[in-house]
Amino acid sequence: MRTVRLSQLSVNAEAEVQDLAGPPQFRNRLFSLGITPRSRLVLVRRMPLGGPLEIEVRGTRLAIRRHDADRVWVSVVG
Amino acid sequence: MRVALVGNPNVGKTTLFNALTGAHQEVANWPGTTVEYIIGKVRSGAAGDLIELVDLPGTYALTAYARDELVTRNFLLYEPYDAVIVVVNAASLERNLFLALEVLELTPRVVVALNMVDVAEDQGITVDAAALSRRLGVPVVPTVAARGVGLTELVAWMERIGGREVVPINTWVVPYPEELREVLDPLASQLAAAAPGPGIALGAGDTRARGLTASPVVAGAQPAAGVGRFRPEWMALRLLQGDEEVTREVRVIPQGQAAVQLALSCCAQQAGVQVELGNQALALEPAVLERLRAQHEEFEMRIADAKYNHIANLLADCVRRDPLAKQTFSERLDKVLLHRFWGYPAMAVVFFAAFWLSFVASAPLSDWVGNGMGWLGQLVAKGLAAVGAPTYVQSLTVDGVFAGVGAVLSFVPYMAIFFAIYQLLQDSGYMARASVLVDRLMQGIGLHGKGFFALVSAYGCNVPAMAATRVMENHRDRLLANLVIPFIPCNARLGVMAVMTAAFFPGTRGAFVMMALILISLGVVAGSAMLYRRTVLPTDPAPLLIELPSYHVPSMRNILIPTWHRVWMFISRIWMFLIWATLLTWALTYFPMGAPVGQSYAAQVGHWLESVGRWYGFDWRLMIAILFGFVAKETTLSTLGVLYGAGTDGSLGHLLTQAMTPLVAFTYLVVYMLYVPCLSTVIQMRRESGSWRWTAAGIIVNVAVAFGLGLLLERVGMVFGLQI
Repeated sequence: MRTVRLSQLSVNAEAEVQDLAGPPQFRNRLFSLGITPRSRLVLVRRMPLGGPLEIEVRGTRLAIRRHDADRVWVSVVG
Repeated sequence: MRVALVGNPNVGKTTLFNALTGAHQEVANWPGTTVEYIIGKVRSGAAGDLIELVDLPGTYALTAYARDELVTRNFLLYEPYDAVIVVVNAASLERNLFLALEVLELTPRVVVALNMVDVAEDQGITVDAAALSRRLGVPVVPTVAARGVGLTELVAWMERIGGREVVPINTWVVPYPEELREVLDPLASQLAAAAPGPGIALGAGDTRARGLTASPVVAGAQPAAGVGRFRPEWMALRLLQGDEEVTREVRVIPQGQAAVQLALSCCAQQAGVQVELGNQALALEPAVLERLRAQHEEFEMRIADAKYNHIANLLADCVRRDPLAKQTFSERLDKVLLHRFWGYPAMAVVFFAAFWLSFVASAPLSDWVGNGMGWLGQLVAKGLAAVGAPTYVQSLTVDGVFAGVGAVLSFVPYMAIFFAIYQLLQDSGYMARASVLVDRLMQGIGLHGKGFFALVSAYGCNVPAMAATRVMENHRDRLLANLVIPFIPCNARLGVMAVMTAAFFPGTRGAFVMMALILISLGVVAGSAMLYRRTVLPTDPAPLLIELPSYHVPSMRNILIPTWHRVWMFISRIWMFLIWATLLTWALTYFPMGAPVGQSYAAQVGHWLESVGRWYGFDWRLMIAILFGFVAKETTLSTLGVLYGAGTDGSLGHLLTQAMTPLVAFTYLVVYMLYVPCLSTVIQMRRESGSWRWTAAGIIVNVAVAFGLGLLLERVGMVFGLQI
């Protein structure tokens, strides 16, 4: 199992969240949006020019900045 | 009976609110914030009494981070209410139930509205509401708010839950794992021992104005939920998660200190920190405090994790998912609208249509309103003349009162259309996507992606643009957007600029001059935003973490109700200022009585201002136009017309070209484009920033940049002998 930053995940890849870094406020926001350790997510698309990423997690679509996605460590599933 | 309505954003909470209350609504502002909440009345049949429904801002959790969330949290914690409706989206229950569990931990007086069951079924998701209700221990009512399905049952449950004593079934709503219970149980019993009785009161000595009612809760009556009384279990959870507000308040209740210490020592133990916890627990070394805080966060994560595990179990029993072969409508639409290339032209088309409708298509309507008021004024003046009223009264009526009222009312058409379109873009789900598309570009100049629409809409009118900055949660991001918006020339300014450009730079040159002006304003916006970020607002834009909800077509009612509220709030706020300013303008140009314009008080002020204008080559008339433009930029052309003695035959352009050189004209255009926009904008800025000091600072920077840049252009132009 390969652990990478969420920002390094390839499009359409499914991954399991391993760890979350960053300030408490940011992590708390992630929890309430459903991004917790062991949650599954799929990278749906990347916006151009280094823009945000679109991910699907717990049945909803979210956008997260690439810089913020650097703080989420995931392991690729399958 | 008072019922609070909570839910995640984009779950149809407001649709449900509108369907339940109809037009019986009033908007109020939370004290000291720009956050709005809406109160409505439900006409219930059975009990015959009115239910007061409070629509709280959408939130994902009850932790106290974002401002809007804080309003919801404070309401649920400290305001009296009889029941809470938690609206959840049936199509994304997994995330939505998280908030439902947080509310359930706070109060058992909950009704869950399982909304959008139709959308869920289209996606192959079937929810067994009865089973979910049994598992949660509270009623779960399937609803389709947009079509009024399930509302009667929802109202019936509201009355039943709100009208009688409710006994919670579980002490811990969520079956927390053993290792958490080992910490939580002793903490809860410690808290229960600290204050016997139904819940523990917090914030009793708190004098902050918290919100809606000043009336104390009647003692002896059935205690309403909220009002600062909490179950020990809830407090134990909050203490363990390091909730600062709850910790602070528990500390002051009798024996609360012991509970706080217990929570801290649990943390210390788990973190492997050896500390002696006396009464001065806060005086610990920073390194130790850091580790304790990390442990609080660890607990917070484990508690969240336990909740999601519980939700997964609930859903396994209550939800059936049929695999879908085809893509959903939203996915197919996003293939184009979020495409890495086509997404941008698509956005340009959407925004262009939005602004064209708001500011171009509405122009005739504004003209009709303005002309209508002028016509009415003339009619009244004729009447006054017939009864022999003095001339100054006639003039006051036409040029003062009716002009002022006309100035207020002419805002209405484009405000209404703008806010309706704004609401449509928000509700449909497109606005979130547009913010994501431009976030990277906006970040480059220190602004937040969500502010893009506000900035672009400032080309229409700065006032609603400032109102549109509210989508950003972070106060600094909002403030920054408000500070730079005045540098963007609005429709009225663009109109004046177009007329002057056409007069001085006929033909193709005019297009280039207008282009140059727009580029200058873009440069000033970007430059000032970066400068503000570097100096007074030194933080990165708040994280962009937003949901991209499924697209849907909002109902007419959902568009019209908030539009009406916004327009009304604008009018009610602005009319006094505008009318007084118009009257003052009138008085300055009219008096001393009988004098020609060149000797009026306005001219005297203008001559005094000319000492500044001389640097730029502006005569007193131009300075007066700048000054009076502050009241409303729309009046600038008519002011110049009066001062230069132009008729209504379009001779103003000709007269202007005789009065100054093209270089002076260009300088004037730059100054005019950038200096303080208008009175309405200033008042809106005060409202959005919540501070006169920031408003004043913003205005000073505006004026300084406008005149500074103007002077620079003038001097550089002179040196190069530029005749444009």
